[in-house]
Amino acid sequence: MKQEGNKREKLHKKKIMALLFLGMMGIIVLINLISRDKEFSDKENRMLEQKPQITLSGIESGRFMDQYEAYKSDQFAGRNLWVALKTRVDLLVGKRESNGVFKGKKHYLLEDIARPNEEQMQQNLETIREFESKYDEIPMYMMLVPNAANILSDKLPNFAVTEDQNEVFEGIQKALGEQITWVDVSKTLAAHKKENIYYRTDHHWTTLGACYAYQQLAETMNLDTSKEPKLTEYAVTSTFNGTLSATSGYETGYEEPIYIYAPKNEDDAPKVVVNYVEEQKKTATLYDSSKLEEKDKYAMFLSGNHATVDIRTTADTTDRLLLIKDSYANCLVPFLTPYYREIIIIDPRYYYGNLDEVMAENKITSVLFLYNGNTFVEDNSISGVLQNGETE
Amino acid sequence: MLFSSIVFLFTFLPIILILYYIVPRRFKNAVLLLASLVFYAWGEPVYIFLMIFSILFNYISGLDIARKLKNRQAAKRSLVFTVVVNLALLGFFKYEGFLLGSLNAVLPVNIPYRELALPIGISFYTFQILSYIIDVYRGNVKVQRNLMDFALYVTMFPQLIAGPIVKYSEIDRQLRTRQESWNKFGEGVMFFVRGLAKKVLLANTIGMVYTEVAALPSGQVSVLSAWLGCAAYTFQIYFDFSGYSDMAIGLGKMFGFEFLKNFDYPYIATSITEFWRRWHISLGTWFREYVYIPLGGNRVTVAKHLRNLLVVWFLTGLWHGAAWNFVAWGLYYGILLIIEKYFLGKMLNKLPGVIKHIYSIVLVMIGWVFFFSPSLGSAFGYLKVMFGAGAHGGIDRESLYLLVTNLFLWIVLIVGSTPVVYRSYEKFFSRKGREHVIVDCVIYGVMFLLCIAYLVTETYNPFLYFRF
Repeated sequence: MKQEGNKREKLHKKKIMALLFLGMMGIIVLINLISRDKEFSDKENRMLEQKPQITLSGIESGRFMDQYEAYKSDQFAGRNLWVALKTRVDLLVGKRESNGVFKGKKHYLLEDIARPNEEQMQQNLETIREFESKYDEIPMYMMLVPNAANILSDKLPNFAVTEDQNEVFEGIQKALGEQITWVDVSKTLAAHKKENIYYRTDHHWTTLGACYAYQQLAETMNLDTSKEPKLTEYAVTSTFNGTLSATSGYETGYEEPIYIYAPKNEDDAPKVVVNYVEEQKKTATLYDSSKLEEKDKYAMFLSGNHATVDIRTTADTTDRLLLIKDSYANCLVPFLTPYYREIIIIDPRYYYGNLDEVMAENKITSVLFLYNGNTFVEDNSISGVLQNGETE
Repeated sequence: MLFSSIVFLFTFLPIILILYYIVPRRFKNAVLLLASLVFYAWGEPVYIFLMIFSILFNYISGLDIARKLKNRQAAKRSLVFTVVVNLALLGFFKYEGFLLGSLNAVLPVNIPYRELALPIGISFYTFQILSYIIDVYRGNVKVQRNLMDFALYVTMFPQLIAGPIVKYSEIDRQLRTRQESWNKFGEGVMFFVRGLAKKVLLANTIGMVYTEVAALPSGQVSVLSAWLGCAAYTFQIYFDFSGYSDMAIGLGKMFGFEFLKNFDYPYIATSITEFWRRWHISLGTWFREYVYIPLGGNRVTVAKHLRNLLVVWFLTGLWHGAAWNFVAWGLYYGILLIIEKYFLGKMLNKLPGVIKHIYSIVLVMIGWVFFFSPSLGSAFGYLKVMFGAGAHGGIDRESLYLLVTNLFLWIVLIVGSTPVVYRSYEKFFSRKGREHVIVDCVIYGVMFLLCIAYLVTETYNPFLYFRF
């Protein structure tokens, strides 16, 4: 009798299992049928795959199937929730890395140190040297900013290993030679690593980090810092959640402030006119507060990245700076305005003009390259832009 | 299409299940056949024609052999012709590049060739077809006169692309009469979800550790890293492959089929001989039945027996891939099995259990090095590092990181490779009724949800535009 009952129980159990599975599958299918397709994912900052058109050639080559699979998972209902679930589980079982981002200690997210693309990098370095040799009388500087995973290596998860960025930097400094003055901010930043010099959820340095680097830069470039106006720190937002958080799925709820350093007394500082050349837009401020309403709030510095930004100031000098840079420069530029009549900022990733013309037409008196390590060692645009003058 | 994909789970499978269960019995095989063809064409839109050709050719050949059965000579000629054509197709699509490449290397010739994309599943379905043809010739099975049923046997989507290799004799009857039931469906669900979890939660995750070790520049790999990389691969291939087999068995059950077990906790084996009784059982059975025994098996002189073993293991290696490292992997096992059979066997038996376990798992892991290395040379290079030559120390930070951040996973993998959890779970709950059902449902439900989360996340792909 008991045997019989057990058996029935087992049968019963399997039917429940079958119904559970079918139920879960059915509900998910239904929700997906009801939910509307989205065009854009804020979290991932990219266009989502849309329903592909059926074509014979698309089916024959298999392209249609690939697109359809991408479409189905891009538009999967509750996608962000599923991703959050997976990230939670990963953390729970001890994983501390996602999409090349480490989940460090004290809420720090740290981008892994990039391995140099040697061939490209050597080419970049060579063209920088060639560029320098064309303008012997104009001093040139290179500021390579180490990334958080280097300076804050004690914040990395236990035992985590990264590329040795210091070694890479040494190699770069050697390759550039004596003619290009190396602005050593690695030591400066390392000396201040207890302070908030990097964002916790973003791959950029904070304005404070940039401020220390600027002090080092001023020393190396012999800037007359007696002109420096008194600066005060203002928080422009306290709800910044940066790109590392979006990339990794970690710390998506963590919010941190962005500071700017502005003159206490406005009359102490020179006035500026910021000209976004390609966009043909001029403003009288280095900051774009409309970006504070968006996801990527770091773009409030110089309104994000632009091919050319031309800043004219009322500073009492005839010095003109050409700044070739990535986004790390954006929050450092405000510190430099008292020392230059004009700062021309070029971002080679978006720039298609001729730098020799820029040099000649604007009477540039010094050149600064400012990059963070990870972008520089993977960059594929510097050599093209610097060579443009020769090839044309 | 992979079982572990959103499209399969939430588009393909629901549609097929609904169609299958609403059509009357006589159309059920047609639904499955259609589904299988769509399933195959989804991944191989062009090679579907190759498969259809194979089906038609072998269907007719089967009829031809059956017709001639009274005349052994004629039947044999027909059999040989059919087998040769099948092997030629397999050879052309899978081994052409390998064969000509090897010839060019050995002989002073340079025959040009074009690497063809390998038709998915061709090794599996060719072996299934051969089992049918040979068994028809042997009179073990009746010839299949129904083209649709035959086509379904060849293409059945649950086991089409990664096995198990189902012999025709196992499924002949099920093609005609089989019983679907809630009971079977529920069992199928449990197999399927377990397999999916093995593949998605375990194999894919530990696979990343292997990839990480494999990507380390040479000279940066410590002894521990090398062993961890090898262990990661060892787990990855088992949970991937056996997960796939479980999913196939589970899907089969959902449609009323019963396939045989393909893996039986291979890593708890106490000898290599036992390992191969537990690993990819359907392939081992196939080779025994259609190659080893026809060659004479072990009922021949020692010399011939050695030859038979080496032939079988050469072919087993080659079946896994068209490259010399797979051949080396196969022969490695052939030699180990010979040694166990003729020398070590008795001695092994006397050793304590722990030693026997270590003995076989270490040899199996060394075997996988041949399997995962892109070439023989790099396999020996990797082995050297595992044994300390040219290693980046014994233990370095990288290896500790790989060990510590995945500690939980390592434990799950080790325990999951043994029957301990499953058996004690069954034992503990077998006396409880209601609780058992609830706990089961929670466990399988959570596993399924986690698999979905992992699958969705695979394509979570933030566009790094704002990196700049």
